[in-house]
Order: sequence, then structure tokens, then C-alpha cells
Amino acid sequence: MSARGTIPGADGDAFAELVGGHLDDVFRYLAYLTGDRSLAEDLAADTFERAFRERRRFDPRRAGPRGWLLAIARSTALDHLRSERRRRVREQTYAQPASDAADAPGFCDGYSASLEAALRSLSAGDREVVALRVLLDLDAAAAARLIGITPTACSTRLSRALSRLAQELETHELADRT
Amino acid sequence: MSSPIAPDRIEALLRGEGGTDRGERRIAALLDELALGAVSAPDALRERVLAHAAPAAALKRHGLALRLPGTRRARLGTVLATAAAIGGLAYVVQGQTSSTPVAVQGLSTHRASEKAQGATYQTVGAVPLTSADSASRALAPLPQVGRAQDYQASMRVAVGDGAALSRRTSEVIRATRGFGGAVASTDFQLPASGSGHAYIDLRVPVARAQDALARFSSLGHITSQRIAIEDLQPTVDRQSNRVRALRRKLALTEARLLDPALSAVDRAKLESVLADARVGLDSVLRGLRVTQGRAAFARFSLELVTGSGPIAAKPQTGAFGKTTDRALAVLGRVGRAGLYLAIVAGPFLAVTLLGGLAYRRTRRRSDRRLLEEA
Repeated sequence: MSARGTIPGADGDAFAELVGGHLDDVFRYLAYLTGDRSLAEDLAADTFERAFRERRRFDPRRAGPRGWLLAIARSTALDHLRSERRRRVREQTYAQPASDAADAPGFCDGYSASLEAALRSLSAGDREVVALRVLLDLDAAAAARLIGITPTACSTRLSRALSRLAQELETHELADRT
Repeated sequence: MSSPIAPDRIEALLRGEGGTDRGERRIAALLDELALGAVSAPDALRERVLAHAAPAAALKRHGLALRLPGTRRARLGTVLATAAAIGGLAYVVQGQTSSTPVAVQGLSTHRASEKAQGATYQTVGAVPLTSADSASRALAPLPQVGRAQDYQASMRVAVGDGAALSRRTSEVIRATRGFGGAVASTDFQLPASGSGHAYIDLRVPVARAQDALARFSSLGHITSQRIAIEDLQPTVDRQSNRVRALRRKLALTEARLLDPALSAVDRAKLESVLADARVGLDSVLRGLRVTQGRAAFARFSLELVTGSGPIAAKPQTGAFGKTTDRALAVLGRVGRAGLYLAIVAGPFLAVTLLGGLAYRRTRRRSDRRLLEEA
């Protein structure tokens, strides 16, 4: 029996089950990665559209449905970031940069303003590893596979990201107090 | 910036263990705070995502979905198809060029017998053989009956081990005598280690050359064979005509010497002519005998060597054997073609693979930089 095939429940109406089971995770990951919930919505929609289109390429030997969807989400987000960078370079001389997303909804509901600000000051790469390991609770191996690094490097990257986040959080808390 | 915590401690904190120092406790508290955050996909997004699937599912149900191959699969297919096309093309081109000498060899062999009438000397084949001894015998030209020809055959035959070499050498000598021929020279060497060989020069009456060729071909596995035929008939004809002319001249001169009216001076001249003609006749007769001697015996130079080649051509064992042989031959050809394809296409595939790996590595680095900048 071939291990390769359609992802469970990805055909027709059953696609709803897959969406119901993993949409929140994908959305959360994208929101963390981009720091923009409305953009994360668009990217999540693109992710599932692509997943549905490419469902026959799903290989359960390489990752479960969640890992597969997150990999597609990452690829979709990177494509978007790449095109955004190109667009920024193109429009740099003609337009002012877009306003910061400070007024946009935060990364997560329930975060303090200081934590939101500290998270925003991290790079997308740092936020990504935090999202995968802390929010989505992926183990080191799964997260490393998704990012394309070794599990040890993944843990190291997480450690550095958390240290930077703690540092930024302290800075923002101090600023709030003063 | 506070110093990062060791990876194993980070894993411990993620598992819920308490921090051991202030820094770890701070990170543990941060992890708790991060985990508290909650965000769900809006209902609008859920509906939007499900809406994507519905039309696609409907199209699929009606068999209208346009399925394009995945980019990666298409890329891989393109690379493989290109490699196969290059390999196939090279195989065809190489096959055409390598088949040319074979055709020429076959042609020259047939022409040898066709042109033998007028030619003075022809090398009619240096055929390296790896199998099918019977085919080699069919290809090997034979001396033409009733025509003076110098027939030389050189064969290299692998006979098996040292014992077989000794046995086969004796067989050759015995067979040569049986054919009414003679062994001109033999050089037999069988060292304690390494390969042995026997060089045997033979003379076999031309009438038995065909039998001798067949007999020697069956000694073992022919690894190379060269047959040369020199047409001596024009030489024989020329020498015979010269003999006849000289004999006529002798007879005329002798008749004129019988004339009693000859002067002493004329008689001396005629006697000189007669002596020259006799010497010339002797010389031409000697040459004719040598030529006829060359035409009477075929020369065989056999080199028997120890070797692992098959001892003799495998006899066909009916329809089953033929079918098996044909199938094995096809398999062999397919294997050779596959090997050829692998050798030709291998470098292209390796370059493509390395290029793919380099691209992937660069892409990952670029992604990482992008995420750091974002």
C-alpha cells in the first residue's frame, strides 16, 4: 500500500474536517509570523486553497496533516514577504512606507501591551520559532523539519529568541513605568 | 541582552519544569505568559476557506478538474526526460558509428571471394570475436578450389586452464598430421603462475584448409581471428607462360644449332643464347615451384592461451534453448543500453542534483534572511 495519497478528509465535503482541525493553528502561526492578523487571514486562505489543490502530494511519511499545512503556510508567507520586499523596493522612491501595524489587532488576545510590543520588535524568524514551539507546541524535531534546520539549532534559536524577547519585554515594561 | 539558556534547559522549561535560577525563572514566566495568549481564526476566514474547496470538489465530481502536474514533479520529469533524450541520442549516434566497421568487415569478407579472381593480395578480415564461433566460421573466407592462392589464418583461442592448454596443443599437432600437413614451429609456455600460451605454426594442404579451420575453431573460445588470402594465380600464369616461352626458345635454338652451315661465330652466339635460356628456365621453374608450394599449403598461426572464456560455443538445445538465448541476448542489449544511458546521463543528473541542492541551500539562506529582516 502506498503511503502517499490524499490527506485524510481532504476530498469534497470532508475538507471541512481538516479546516476545522487545523485552521486555528495555521492562522495563529501566520499571525505570529507576519504580526498582522488581516494579512494572516489572507495567507491562511491561500494556504488552504493551495493545500486543497496539492492534496495529492501529501506524504504522511514526511509529516502529519498539521505539519504539512504549516509547511504550506510557511511557504505562502515567505512568498508574500518576498513579493512585499520587491514591492517596497519598487515603490520606495514614490511612496512613504506604510504605517506601522501598531493600531492593528495584536498577535494574540490576552497579551499585555508590553508583550505585544516586545513581540513586534522581534524578527519574523524569532517569532516563527516561538510560535511553533510555544504556541503550537511542536516538538523540536517537527519544528526543525519545518524550518529546515537541525533540532539542536531549533532549540538554540528558540533560546536566543526568548532571551531577546525577555530583554525587549523588560525594556518596554521599564518604558511603561517611566 | 541576557545570555541565552542552554537548549536542553529550554526543552526542560517547555516540558513544564521549574527554572533553577533567575534567568530560567524569567523565561519560564515568559513561556507561561505566551502560552496564555489565544487567537482563533475568524468565522469569515473559515467560510472563505471552505468556499475554496466547494467549487473544486464540484468540478472534480463532474470530472472537469484540470489537474496539472506538480511543479517539482514536472521539473524532475523534465530533467529525466532530457537526460534520457541525451543518452538515447548519444547511444543512437554511437551505435551508428560503431556499427560501421562491422558492416565494412562483413562487406570486405564477401568482396574477398568476389574479387579473388583479379586481385593479387587481400586481407579479408581481422575479426575480433567474443562469441558465436559458428558465425565466425561462416564469416571466415576459404581458399578457392582450382585457383592458386596463398592462404594464411591467424587465430587466438582461449582454451581454459593449463591442462586444457597442453591437451589442445597436442590435439592441434595430431590433427595437423591427420590433415596431411606439418607443424613448422611450436612454442609452448606454461609458467607455474600466470597465463600460459602455445604458439603453433602449421602448414595444411589447401584442400583440407576448411576442415582445419573448423577443427581449430572448436578448440575453445576464439578471441581474435585474422585471415589473409593472396591470389597467386596471376603469378603462376605468368611464370608458366615464361616457362613455355623459354622452352620454345630452347627448342628453336637447339634446332638452329643442328644446321651444319652455321659459321663458328653464329654457332658461338647461339650456344650462348641456349645457355642463357637454360639458366632462365631453371630460375623460372624454381620460382614456379615455390609459388605452387605456397599455393599447395595453407598457413595457420595458432595462439592458444589459458583463459576463462567458454571452452566451446554452446550448442543450441532446440526451441527452448534458442528462445532462452534470444531472451538473454535481448536482456544483455537492454543492460548494455541501460549502462550506456547511466554513464552518459549520469554526469547530467549529478550536475542537476548538485544544482538542486545548491539552489535549496541558497533558498533556505535567503528565506532565513528574509525572516530576519521582516
